Order: sequence, then C-alpha cells, then structure tokens
Amino acid sequence: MEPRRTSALILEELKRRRASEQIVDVDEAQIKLVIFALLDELYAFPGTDVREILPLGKISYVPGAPEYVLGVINVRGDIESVITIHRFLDLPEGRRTPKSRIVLAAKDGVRSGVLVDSIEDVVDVPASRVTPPLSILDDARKELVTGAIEYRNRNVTLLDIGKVFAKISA
Amino acid sequence: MTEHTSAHGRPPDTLPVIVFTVKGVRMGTEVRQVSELLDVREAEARALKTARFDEYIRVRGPAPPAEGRRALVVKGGPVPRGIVVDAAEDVTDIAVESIRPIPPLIASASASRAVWGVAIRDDGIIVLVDVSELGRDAREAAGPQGAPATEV
Repeated sequence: MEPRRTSALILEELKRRRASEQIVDVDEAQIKLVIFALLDELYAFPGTDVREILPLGKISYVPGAPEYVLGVINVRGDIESVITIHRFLDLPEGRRTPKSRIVLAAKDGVRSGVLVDSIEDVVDVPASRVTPPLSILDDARKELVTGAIEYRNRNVTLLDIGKVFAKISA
Repeated sequence: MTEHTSAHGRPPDTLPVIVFTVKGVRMGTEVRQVSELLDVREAEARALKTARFDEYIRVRGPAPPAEGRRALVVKGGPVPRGIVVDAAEDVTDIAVESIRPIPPLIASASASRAVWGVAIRDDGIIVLVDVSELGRDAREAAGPQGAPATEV
C-alpha cells in the first residue's frame, strides 16, 4: 500500500482540528471580557457592560463629589462621570500614565467612565473557564467579584461594575 | 437651580453667568443671584458676613495665594452674605444648549444640591453652581440668623 503523503496527513489533521473547534463553538457559550490592569493586578468587565474605551483626556473636577469620583469628561458632547475603583478594591491609587484609559461602562441604567491603568486585552473565553471567586477574598471585594479566569498564566478577577455603581449611588 | 424662565415660561436661550475659580476649578453662577462682586478688603470694611466657597462645598487641591480673592454677594436670604472665591474671571452668556445635567452617579453621591450642571465651552468645562443653595442645609438648621458665614 502506498504511504500517504505528508501534506495529505497535515491537511487531514487540520480538518479534524477545525471540526473539533467548531463543535466547541457550538456547544460552549463564550463570554467577551475587557481585561485591564490596576497596578499589578488584572481585572475584567464583561464586554456587555462596556460601551467604549477612551483615551485619558482632561477630567474636570466637580466640587463636592466624593474622593472616588474624579470628575467629568466630554464625550462628543455628552458629559460622563469618571470614577476610580481602586479604593473599592483596597488598592492604592494608580498613577496616570500614557497607558491609562477610561472604560465607559453601563449597567442597570447607570453609566460612567472608570479610570484604569491600562487595557490588556479584549478576549472571548468559554464560560466554563470562569471559576468562582476565591473564598479568601475580603468582604469588600467579594461583593464586587463575580469570578476569575486564568489569562496567560495570570489570574484575572471578574468584576460586576453594576455593584460598584450601586455602592456609589447608595 | 433658581427658576429662570422667559416671559412665555420657557427656558431662555442663554444664561448670563459670572465665571469664577476656586482652587483652579472653573465655575459659574447666574448673574441674577449675585448683587455685587467685591474685593475681599471691601467686604471686610463693610463687615459683611463671608465664608470661603470651599467651606460650603469641598474643593480638592491646594489653595492659591490669597491675593485677588473676591466676594460674591448673594441676593436674598435673611442677611447679605459674601462667598469668597479665588478669582472672578468674566461675565458671559452661556448657550443653554451647551448645558448638560450633572451625571446621575455624581448627583446621587454628592452631598450638595448646589452644583446643578455643566456647560461645555470651546475653552473647557464650566461647573454651574446655584450659590443660593450653598449652605442651605446649615442655614435651615441654624434658623433665621444664617450659617456658616464668619466675620472677616
């Protein structure tokens, strides 16, 4: 029997892999995540809660606003608030750098910009990869965390921005 | 916000405001809420009750040197009172269509009702303040003599 050509074997293998990927796509729900950094830690918002990622421009301070409200920005004629979530996660304030971004998030009818130290990636991951929040989290964090994933050998904490908004509005 | 409507009960097209700064933050208040704009020394000479703007509403940042401070004399109230600001820049008409409300997240988190909007201008943002609301809670608690103004 004539040995099969290497190219045919490769093509066959590729076809098999593709078929298996397609099966995964059909069976497994994917979630989009916007992964960002706060200091040295990685966090993510669900893509469904993110409207836009904006460069860091001038933030105009509003007198009387609490510490975690940085001010307002002009987004094509609309005024949006900008908050920092560091203190809700017990983190020291980050420094504003050229990599800083404002994630314009919306949930439960509330919308605001969130200042982050950098955007790491926007990825689609299988929902099954999301693990429950660590039980060792303190109460303040536990309230805001919905789960975790591993991303490039690093832990990414998934946050519910709606819970942050609710805390501020309470 | 103080009611400000045209003869037909509709908002005007423009709002005349006095633009002032406190700790570098540009703010504006309706001209008609202010009876006079005084040098602080003159306010002292008149023994007017005055208080710095940031005694009513916290403003972050370092205070600039005292030179050039002005007192906005607020209309109404049981006694005339002056609100001291770092500088008064200009009197200008702001197009009402350039005014936006304070975003709900800030409105719900802020202790004061005095900050009511934001005007978008080519040269930046002006925070709109109803100066008659400043210290209203404290004045209501203090009764007809008013608070928290101090003699200068």
